[in-house]
Amino acid sequence: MTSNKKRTLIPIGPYHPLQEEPEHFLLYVEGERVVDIDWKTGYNHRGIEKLSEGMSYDQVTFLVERVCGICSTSHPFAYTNAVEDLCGIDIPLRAKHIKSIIGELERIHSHLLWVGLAGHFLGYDTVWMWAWKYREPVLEILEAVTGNRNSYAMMKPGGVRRDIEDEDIPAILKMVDALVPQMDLLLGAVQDDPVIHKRTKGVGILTKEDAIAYGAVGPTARASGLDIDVRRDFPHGAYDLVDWDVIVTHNCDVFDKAAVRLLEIYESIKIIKQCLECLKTAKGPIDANIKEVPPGHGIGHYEAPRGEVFHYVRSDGTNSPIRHKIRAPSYVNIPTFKATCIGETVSDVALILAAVDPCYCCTERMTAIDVNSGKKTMEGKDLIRLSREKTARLRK
Amino acid sequence: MEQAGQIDPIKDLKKTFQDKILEFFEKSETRYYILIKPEDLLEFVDHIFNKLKARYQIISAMDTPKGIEIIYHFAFDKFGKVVSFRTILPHENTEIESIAPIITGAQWIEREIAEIINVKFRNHPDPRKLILADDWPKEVFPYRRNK
Repeated sequence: MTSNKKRTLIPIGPYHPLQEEPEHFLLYVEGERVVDIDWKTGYNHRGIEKLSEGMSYDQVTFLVERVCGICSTSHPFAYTNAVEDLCGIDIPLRAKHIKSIIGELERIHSHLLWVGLAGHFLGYDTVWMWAWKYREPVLEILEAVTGNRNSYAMMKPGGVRRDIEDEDIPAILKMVDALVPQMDLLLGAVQDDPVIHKRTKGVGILTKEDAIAYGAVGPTARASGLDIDVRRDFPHGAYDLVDWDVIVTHNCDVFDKAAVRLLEIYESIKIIKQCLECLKTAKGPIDANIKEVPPGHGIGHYEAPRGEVFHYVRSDGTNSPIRHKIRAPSYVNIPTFKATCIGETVSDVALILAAVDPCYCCTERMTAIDVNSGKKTMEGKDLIRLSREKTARLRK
Repeated sequence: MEQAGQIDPIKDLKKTFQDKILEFFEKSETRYYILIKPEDLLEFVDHIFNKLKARYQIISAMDTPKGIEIIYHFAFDKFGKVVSFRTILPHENTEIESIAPIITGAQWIEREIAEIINVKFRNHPDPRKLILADDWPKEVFPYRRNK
């Protein structure tokens, strides 16, 4: 800190019960401009990797479901892929379709949750209420099919735990069909609004080179022109059996990150409809019945709503893994803030931090201390206020 | 991602490093594990990341009876393959070169491995603690199995 200008430190975090990843950001601010950002985590380290070493392969599925509340099926999906890779087995066709259906339903509700929060942050509470209203039927369908709105406990190494009954299929189809016009409405609201354009276009640029250097994944990477999606690139589940597209855009800004997510919902709907159609003919077992796990390495990944979830499982031939490494997408996406936030204003940073979808929208508290006077104090709501005021100014 | 045209990355790795690969293990058509010496690490990582344009995924570390095993995972999305470099550090000298100067994204996981399993990453640009509390006891490493 050699600059003569008055530099303010703005800590964001470190803890909020609504957030799946309590982190502590430290913004170094000169006037309105962010000149540096630092990150500290570990406030809610639950030692899941270590806990996994004391559990059986089947029990770990339930454990990893608790890594994240919103992607509660992505971690078990990736973990079961890893165990299946370790055993070198292929799972029954019906199980593949069911896995993909649950995975895509989760993607829809997660993206809608994000769209709602982004709308709230921008000062568009109507978008927030619409998005969360449309998310509700998705959760209801998940509850009807799996028994839970979240943490579905559907995955198991070698297949799925529960079948999707034929009588459930019309209800799921009805729900996804009803979602299409609602999504058109949301997409229209985002695409046609000049103020949203002004707030999000050209803001928080993550260049393709930076995305590669940080190993960014998911919509964060795809909005920066990286054509990667492990659902397509490493075929698993039913993703290579149905027709769908990977959404890639090239403007690298917050607007594109939102666009990628909104357009992905349409692709998820396409996947679900095709898988449901296949379920009508793909009768048979839903579980490959893994009896024992041989010694060796297993790598499994799955494209969670936020990006690639990576699980590495090491076995010594006993009943539990001897090492289980989990890498969630935010672990590689959050460090990209170093590339996207510097040079932006504080009101935009609120949005950029949210654009990666670490659920940091629910910023718990923020205290801005003027290093010279040590007086000024701001809270989380002030951060939202700053962002909303900027939108209000642009509207005029 | 523009990944080195049509060259098969596995063939390229085998050809480029034929003298330096200690053990090549093809688990399946999509998973490859290559055991390397710790001193050759940077050469391998530089080649796979900068020349073959692999995507950096993550590093994992575990304490084994033979030493601390560190595994560097890279994905070739266009080819649908994951290549993992394995290297084993003896317990008496758990030091290895940091790959963060080549891959910015590896900074955080190296900081995490350093504090949970006690590996020293030489030339790491920012060797602070990441997940453990600042007042965590100095000689306690939660993922170490030996005392």
